[in-house]
Amino acid sequence: MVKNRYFEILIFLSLGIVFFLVFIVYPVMFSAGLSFFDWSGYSRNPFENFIGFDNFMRMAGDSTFWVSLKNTFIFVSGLILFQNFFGLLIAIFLFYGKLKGGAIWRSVFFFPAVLSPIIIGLVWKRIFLADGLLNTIILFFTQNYEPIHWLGNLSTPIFAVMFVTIWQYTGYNMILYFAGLQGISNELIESAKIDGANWLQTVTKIVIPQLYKVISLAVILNIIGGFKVFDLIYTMTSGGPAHASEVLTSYIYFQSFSITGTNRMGYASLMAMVLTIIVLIFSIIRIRIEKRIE
Amino acid sequence: MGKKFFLGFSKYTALGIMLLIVGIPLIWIISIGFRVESEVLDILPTQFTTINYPKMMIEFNSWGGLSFARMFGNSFLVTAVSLIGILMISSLVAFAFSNYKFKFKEPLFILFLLGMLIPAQVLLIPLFFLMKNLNLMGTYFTLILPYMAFNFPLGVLLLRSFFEKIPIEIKEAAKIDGASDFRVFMRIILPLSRPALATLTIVSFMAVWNEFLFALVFIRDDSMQTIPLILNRMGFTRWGVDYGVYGSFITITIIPVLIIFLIFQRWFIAGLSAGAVKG
Repeated sequence: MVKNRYFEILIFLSLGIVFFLVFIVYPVMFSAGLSFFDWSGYSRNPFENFIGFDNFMRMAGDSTFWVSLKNTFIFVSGLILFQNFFGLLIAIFLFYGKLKGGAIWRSVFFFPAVLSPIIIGLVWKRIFLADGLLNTIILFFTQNYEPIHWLGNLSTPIFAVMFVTIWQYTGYNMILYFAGLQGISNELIESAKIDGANWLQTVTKIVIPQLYKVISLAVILNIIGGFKVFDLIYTMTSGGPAHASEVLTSYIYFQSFSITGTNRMGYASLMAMVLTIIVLIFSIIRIRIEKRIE
Repeated sequence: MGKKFFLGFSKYTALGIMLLIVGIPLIWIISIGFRVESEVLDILPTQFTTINYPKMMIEFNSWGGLSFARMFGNSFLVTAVSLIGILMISSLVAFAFSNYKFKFKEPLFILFLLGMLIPAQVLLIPLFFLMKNLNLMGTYFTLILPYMAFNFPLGVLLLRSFFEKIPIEIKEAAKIDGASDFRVFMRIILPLSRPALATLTIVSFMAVWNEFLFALVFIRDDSMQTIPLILNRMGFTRWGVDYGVYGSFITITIIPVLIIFLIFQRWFIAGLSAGAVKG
């Protein structure tokens, strides 16, 4: 069935190639170019006002950029750590727990991941208010506590949004791990039990090494998803207060299309390219690590 | 016996705690829509009311900026056309990769997959410029075309591996009967790939139905807003004014997603698992 018929091949590929060139390749090159220009988005020709490396200099001296970069890394690290920990924990619990109800629980834990982040953001925004559900619950357990607005100060908002993201997408990791667990042979687990291993040893010595491929996939998906996070930040804090919870995506939006922002399309393009390069570097590192393990 | 009982007991306690953490925010938001105004912020309401639903329908035009039916219509239209495009492009491309041998085949495949890594923020400004120059601003194409472009690479990945698992003998038999490659694709490959196509449809549906950033930037006309835009607008202007009404609105927007999820959940899970097993 394998042939060399370029005309037919081209027909099958053509739509995909056209879409890919127009909506992915062309924009990436456009953005790379625009990084050297100043454009407000209103004038007809974006490539009129060449400013050399001015955007790069601006970025180096822009403390908000560095805050958003730092927040992005905190955010992504948190996702990798907690989504995989809890995802694996719940998957093992549901797979080996022999619970009544079976697959229903898997669907329940996964359900938040299919909802719009805007809904999730709205709901949690209310929960995090000073008179919100979270503080009400804390006050229920201890009176010795001054309620805070979790999204309204300079230190907790990024962690609050991180928590919500983990809350929404841990089910996604759980599904991946659940599928991975189905691929581990029962004999392996049984023989470990016969050798006298307790469940913790079984998990760390048998299950996790068998899952390394799935773990690697889950981590890369969390990295890609984490760097791209926007909807939840935008709904819950819009990067505020005073840019304290800004991540790269939200800061790029602020610098480009936000009504309250600055309409610096060239500068936003540069930061978008930086973000792309970071994602690519992490993806390459991940492929490298996987090759080394193999 | 005692140990077993204790194990079973703690197992279901753990499950209960996990379910509470996942469930409380969702149950809370749905219950808000059924509360009287004085009780919206209480932990446990004492009264039940459905008054918020008709109230929301009456008030919707004034704070949504368009009719209720139009909002759902916008989301359905954009999603349906995008899905048709995604299925068409990705199945054609995946067939080329699975059926032929050509130069730069694997590099081209990897290039398509790299498309999935690109953050939408990079594409936003150039596409804004492009849409303006193509005079597409103010049309649904500003959303549909990018949605097709961003979501078909995942389809190529999913479908290629599925197409390659179809036995060659089936295709060869059709060839002997004189069928062209395109006929083989339409009459044999596609019908046999229904499970993979279903998975792709569901995964893309969620991506497109919930998409927010492009809608936020490209939709300037109130009458063209999709559901996420209305939810967002509400969050900025009305959330906090009348929780009951907005709780009922959020509940209504959850219902279609919930129905689709309940019907198609095995395809969701199959799609995600396929990725996991393939690594």
